[in-house]
Amino acid sequence: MIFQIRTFLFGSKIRNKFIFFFIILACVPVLVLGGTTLYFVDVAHRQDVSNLELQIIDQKIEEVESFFENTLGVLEIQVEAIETPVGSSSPWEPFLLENILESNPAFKEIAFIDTGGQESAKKSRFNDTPQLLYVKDLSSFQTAIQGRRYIGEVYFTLQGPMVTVAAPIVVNGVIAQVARAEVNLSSLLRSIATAKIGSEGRMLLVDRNGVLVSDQGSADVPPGTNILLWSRVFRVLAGETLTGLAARDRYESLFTSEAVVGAGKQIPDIKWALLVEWPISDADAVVSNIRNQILLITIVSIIVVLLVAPLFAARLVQPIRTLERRAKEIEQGEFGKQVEIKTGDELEELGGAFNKMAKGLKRLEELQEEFVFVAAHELRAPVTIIKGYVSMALEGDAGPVKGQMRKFLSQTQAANDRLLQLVEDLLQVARSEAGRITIEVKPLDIRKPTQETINQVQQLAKEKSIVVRYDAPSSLPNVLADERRITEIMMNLAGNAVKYTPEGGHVEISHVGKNNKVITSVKDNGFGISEEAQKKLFEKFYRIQTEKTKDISGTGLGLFITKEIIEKMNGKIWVTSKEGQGSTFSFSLPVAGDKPPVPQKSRTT
Amino acid sequence: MLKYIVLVLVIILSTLAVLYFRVGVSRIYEEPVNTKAAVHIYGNPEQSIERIHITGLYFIPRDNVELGDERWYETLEQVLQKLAEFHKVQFMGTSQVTYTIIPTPIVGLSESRVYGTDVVYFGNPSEMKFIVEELKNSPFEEARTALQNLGNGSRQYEVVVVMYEGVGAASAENVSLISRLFLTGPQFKDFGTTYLAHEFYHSLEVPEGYIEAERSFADNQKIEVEALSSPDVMGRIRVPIEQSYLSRETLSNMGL
Repeated sequence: MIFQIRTFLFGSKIRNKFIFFFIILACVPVLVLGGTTLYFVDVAHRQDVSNLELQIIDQKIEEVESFFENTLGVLEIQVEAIETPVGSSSPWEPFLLENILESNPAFKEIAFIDTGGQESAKKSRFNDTPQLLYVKDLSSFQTAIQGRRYIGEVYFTLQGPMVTVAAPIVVNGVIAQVARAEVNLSSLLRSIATAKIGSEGRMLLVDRNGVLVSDQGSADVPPGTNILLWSRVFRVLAGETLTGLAARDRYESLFTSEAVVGAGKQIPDIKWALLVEWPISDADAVVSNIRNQILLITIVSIIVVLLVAPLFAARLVQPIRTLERRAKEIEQGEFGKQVEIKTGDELEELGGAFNKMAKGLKRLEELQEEFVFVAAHELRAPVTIIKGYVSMALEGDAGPVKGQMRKFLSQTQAANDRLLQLVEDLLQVARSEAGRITIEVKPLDIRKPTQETINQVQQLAKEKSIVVRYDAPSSLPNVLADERRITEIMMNLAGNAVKYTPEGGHVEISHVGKNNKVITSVKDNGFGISEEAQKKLFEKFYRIQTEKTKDISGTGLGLFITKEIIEKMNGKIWVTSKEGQGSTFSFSLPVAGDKPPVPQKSRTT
Repeated sequence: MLKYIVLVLVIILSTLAVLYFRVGVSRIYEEPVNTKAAVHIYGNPEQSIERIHITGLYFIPRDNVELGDERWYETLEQVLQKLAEFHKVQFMGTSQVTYTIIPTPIVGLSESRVYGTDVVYFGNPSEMKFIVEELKNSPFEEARTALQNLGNGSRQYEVVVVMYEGVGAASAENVSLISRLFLTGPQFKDFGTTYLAHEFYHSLEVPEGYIEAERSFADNQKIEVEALSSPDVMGRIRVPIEQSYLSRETLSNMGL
C-alpha cells in the first residue's frame, strides 16, 4: 500500500517536479509575505501598546496630580482668607475646618497648627473632640512651616490607605500657620482601579518610598508592600520613563507570574510612580491571531499542493507515458497502433507527429522487407546456377580438375554454399515477416524428427569428436507442430550446439512433458553465452563475437527464424547459459488435444 | 527529486516554526522576586513575630471585685479581634495574631493600691511587676503557662494582655495591661483599642511615639507638654483604631 502510494505520488519525475515547484510557489510567497506582515504588524502593534499604556498613565497622572493639587489647594486657598494673629486660635477656625471637612469627603481629619507646633484647632470624622497635640517634631509641620507643601508616606488603616498632607498658611507674605490633614486615598485608588487596559491589565500606584499604594496587588504582594527593590519601580521613581517598547519591558509579573508588557512614569509633582501591566496574552492577541492564520494557511497550502500537484502532473505525464509505450512497441516492430492524445495542446500535436512517424517507419519496414524478399529471390537463381556449374566442374564434367584449379573451385563452391544459405535464410526471414510463411500444425511425435536431425548432425559432430546423446523417453505426448519446421528447428539448435562446442565436448538432447506442454532441450558444454549476449540472441543478424567464436561461420538469422517458427506454432524458446560453462536451448510446444488440429496459416499482412 | 521535496518541506516547516515561536513573540524577562519579609520584634531580627499569640485575661484586685464587668469577656474579645485585624493590615499578612481568653476572671491576692497601677496612667511599667509575679503563680494553668512562655515561644511569640479592673495602662516583659475603663468607659471607648494596641506594640519593643517636652511662650512661660515624635499609634493614642496605623519607620525596624 505504501509502495503504491509512493509510486502514485512520486513515481514520475515530472510529477515530482510539479510537486516541488507547486510547493515552492504556494508556500514561499505565503511565508515571505506572512513573515514580513507579521514582523511589521508586531512592530506597529508594540508601538500601539506602548502608546496606549502611556496614554492611560498620563491620564491617571493628571488625575493624581489633580487630586493632590485640589487637596493642598483647599488647605492653602481657604486659609489665606483668614487673618489670624500668630500664636492664637481664631474662633472661626472650627467652623472653617467643619466646612472643609464637609465639602471634601476625602479629608478625614484636619488641623491648624501654630508656628510653635501646637495644634490650635482640629476637626475629625472619627472623633467629636479630637485631642490637640504638640506636633513640632513631626516632619509634616517642619516642612510646611518652611513654606513647602508636604505629602507624607502612605499608611494603611482599617479604613484604607491614608496620607498626611500639610501646607503653609501665608498671611500677608508671612507664614502664619500650618494646615495639616489626614486624607483618605480610597477615592483616588478607585479611580485608578477603573483604568482599563485591555481586559486584564492593571495599574499600580507606588509612593515615593516604593510602597505599593493601589489595591491591585496580589496575595503575595499586597498593598503596603515595599517594592522598591523591583528594578522597574526603582527606575521610575528615579525619573526614568518606561515606554513598554524595550525588550525588558516584557517580563514576568511580580503579582501574577504571568508574562506582561509594562510601562511606567513618575508623577512629577509628588515623585510617586504609576506603572501599568498588561498580560501579553491579552495585549498581543491580534498578533497571535495573525500568526496562527499564517500557520494555518501555509499548512493548508502544503496539503492542497500535495493533493493537487499529482493530479496536475498526471494530466501531463499520461500522454508522455502513452508516447513512451508506443515508442517501445515500435521498437519491437509493432507499427500498426495509433496514439490517442486529446489534450488540445502541444502534446496532442506531438501525438499526431508521432503517429505519422510510426506510419513512415511502417512503410519503410515494408519496403525493406520487400527489398530483402525480392533481392533474395532474385539472387537465389544465379547462386543456384553457380552451385550447379561449380559442382559439375569439380566432378570433372568439364575436364580433369587438379591442383590449384581444384583448390580454387573448392573454395568457390564453399563460398557459394555460404551465399546460398544466406539467401535461403534471408528469403525465409522475408517470408516470415511478410506473413508468407506456411505452418501446418498437426499432432506430431517429436521424437522422430529429433532422431532424424541427430543422424544428420552426427557427421559434423564426429569431425570434432563431439558426442551427441539423445535419451528419447519411452512415452511422450504428441505436440501440435509442423514436422518439416521441427526438423529445421532441431537442425538449427543441434547445429549451433556442435558449432559452439569445442572438440571433445558433448551435446545432449532431451524431452519432458510439463503443464500440457512438451519441452525439448538441447544442452552443450561449449563456450557459453554472456548475459549481455543472451538479451540479443534472437535478434536478426546478431552473432556472438568473442575470441573463441570469431572463426565460426553463420548468418546470424538462424535463431531469429527458429524463434519466429516456434512462436507461430504457439510455442516459446529460451536459453540458459553461463559463459565458459555451456548453454541449454529449450523450446516448448503445446500438447496435441483430442480435437483435430486446425492448420495454422500465416497471418495476413 | 524526492529528497529535494523533503528538503523543501523541512525548510518550510522550519520557517513556520521560526515564525510561530520567534517572530512577534516576546522574550520574557524574569524580574527579581520580592522575598517575603521576615518580620521580627522592633530592632531584633533574631525574634520572629510571624505568629503572635495573645493570652487575654481579666484581672481584678481583691478590693474591686464588685466593680467587675459582667460583659468583660465580650469586651475583651472584641478588642482583641480588632487588634488582630489592625495588626494584619499593618503587617500586610506577614504576621498573624491569634488569641485565647482565660474564661474566668482572675482575682488578685492583694488590693489595688498594692499593684500601684494608679500611677501608670501614662504607663509606668515597673509597677506592673506585682501583677506579673502573681500571675506567674496563679492557680490558673493557662495564666501560668502564658507567663512562663512569654516572648520566646518556640512556635509563636507569646504575649499576655491583662484587662485590669482599675486605672492605668502599661507594658512590661511582654505583658500589656489596660484598664477595663479605657475599653468600656464612654469617654474612652472610642480609642480604647488604640490604647491597647499602643501597649501591645510596646510588648513588641516598639518605643514611645511621644516625648516629654517643654514649650516656651513669648512671656517666657514654659509648660510641659507631650510632643509627638510619631503620629502613629505609638504617638497618637486618642484616635479610633480605624484611623490609626504604624509608621513606615516602625514597620521598617520590624522587618518590613
